[in-house]
Amino acid sequence: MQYLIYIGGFFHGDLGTTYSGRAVSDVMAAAFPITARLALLALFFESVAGILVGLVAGLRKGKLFDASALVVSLLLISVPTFVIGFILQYVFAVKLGWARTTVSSEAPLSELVLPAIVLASVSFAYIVRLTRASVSENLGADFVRTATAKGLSRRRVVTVHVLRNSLVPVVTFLGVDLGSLMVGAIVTEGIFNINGVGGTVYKAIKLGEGPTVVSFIAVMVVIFVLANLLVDLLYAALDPRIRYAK
Amino acid sequence: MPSNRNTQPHFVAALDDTPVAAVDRLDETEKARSTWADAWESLRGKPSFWISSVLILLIVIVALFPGIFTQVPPDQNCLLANSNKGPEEGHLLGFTRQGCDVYSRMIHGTQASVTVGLLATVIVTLFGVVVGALAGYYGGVFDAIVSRIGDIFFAVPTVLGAIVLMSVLPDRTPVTIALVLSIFAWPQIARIMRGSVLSARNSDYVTASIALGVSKFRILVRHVVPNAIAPVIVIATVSLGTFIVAEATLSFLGIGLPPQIMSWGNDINSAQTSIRTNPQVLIYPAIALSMTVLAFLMLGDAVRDALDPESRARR
Repeated sequence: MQYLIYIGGFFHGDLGTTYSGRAVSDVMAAAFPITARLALLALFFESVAGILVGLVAGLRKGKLFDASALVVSLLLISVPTFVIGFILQYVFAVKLGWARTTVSSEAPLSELVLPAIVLASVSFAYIVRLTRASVSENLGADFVRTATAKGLSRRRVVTVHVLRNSLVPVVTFLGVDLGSLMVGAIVTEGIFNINGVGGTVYKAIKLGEGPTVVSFIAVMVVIFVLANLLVDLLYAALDPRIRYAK
Repeated sequence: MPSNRNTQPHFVAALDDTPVAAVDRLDETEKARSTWADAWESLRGKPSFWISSVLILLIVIVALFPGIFTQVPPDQNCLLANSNKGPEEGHLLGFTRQGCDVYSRMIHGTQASVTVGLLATVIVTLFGVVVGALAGYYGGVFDAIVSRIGDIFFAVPTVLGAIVLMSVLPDRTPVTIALVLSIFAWPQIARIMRGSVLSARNSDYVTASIALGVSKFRILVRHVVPNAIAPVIVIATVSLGTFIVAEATLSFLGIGLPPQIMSWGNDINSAQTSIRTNPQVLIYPAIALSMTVLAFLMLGDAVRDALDPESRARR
């Protein structure tokens, strides 16, 4: 019965209260913009850098750049986010003093650069591998041969024909990856003491505030599902070959 | 399929069309080679396969017999006088904040981390293969129900779901962590198995078995599953690594293994407080963790290349 009341409240925006007495929805409203900023920054880093590195590696398959990109991405995937977080925090904030170890409560963009790099690192590695694989596959496709035979410049073949077709799996990945980005945000915001959604969940877990954790993660899962629906709908726009039955 | 056959004039080429010479030229002494033999042939030549196998073997030995690698007890005789001290004779990697030996804790922490990863992988693989194979092979209502239930759990990112369950569960052991991770991870394997079985179900050898009068269940067990399981093996290898990371992440958040069980995640968690003064306490368990995950990822990659002839041809 308690559960039904909770679920009923959930859909009306009532998420309960934290142990300190604030409504969960208020805490979330305050925390959400910070996390959105961090996540968008991380998404920007990982997709721009990942697609670029993956494209170059795919075009020069088997060369030195490709081999090192593969090794680096494998290493980045194996090292958990919280370890990368601590190492970068130690090297860049404690030793070199280039960044702050903890982010202030307003969390301006400049202070979020280091946490965003940490958050982006694992997904960056996956995007590099994905882009590389699909670029090298598309390079051998018939439409690329046709485009080259038509006398198009290499630059145009690569950007218009190869890259555009290679981006479909990457966009799919970005949707699924939002889930690991959320887990990463909990860890990263915990390490850098950012007052975002992830940081709040981190503190709630540490303090054993079950209800707060459940409410926040429920909202995160809803966002995740909606984002994936959006990605599915984006497919058709990106790749005319995919059509949903009418 | 069979209805299609009836409309065809001949099952096989007419006798006078059959190139007898070609049949005669077949060398019957040469054994037919299976996918697995081919895969093994290709794996044998790969350095990444050998490096990862040796690493995994080493990790398994460390997990089973930590006593071979260190005589220093990991959680007794910890002297606070040694707190955060650097390396010295007999204590190669220095001491933790509590004055325990870092190297010994790293060695003894292997067991819990690997157990959780292995257990979760076994549960997920067994359950996913059985459910996926039955759903794909028999289809119908069972398939519909199982696939929709799978969709529900598939929609929740594994670690997020595990955080919720672990933060409310009263007792946390390696078994409960493995079970909780499995709850959210099985649909991935089930989906892959289902798809793989669906495409194997319509192949010629299944039609041949039906024609020979083999029972449906026997065809599934003897012919369909062995031919459909390759993609599952690849995913299972890789997910062993990701389960170990998931356990470490949960332990790092303080809702994984209880503190009295030694694991890399717990050690990294307790090393947080002394990272500025004594980073090696955090670095060494982190290296052990990353190397283990790396080994399983590399093995998964190598096996994928070996089992997937398409990706081999592309190289």
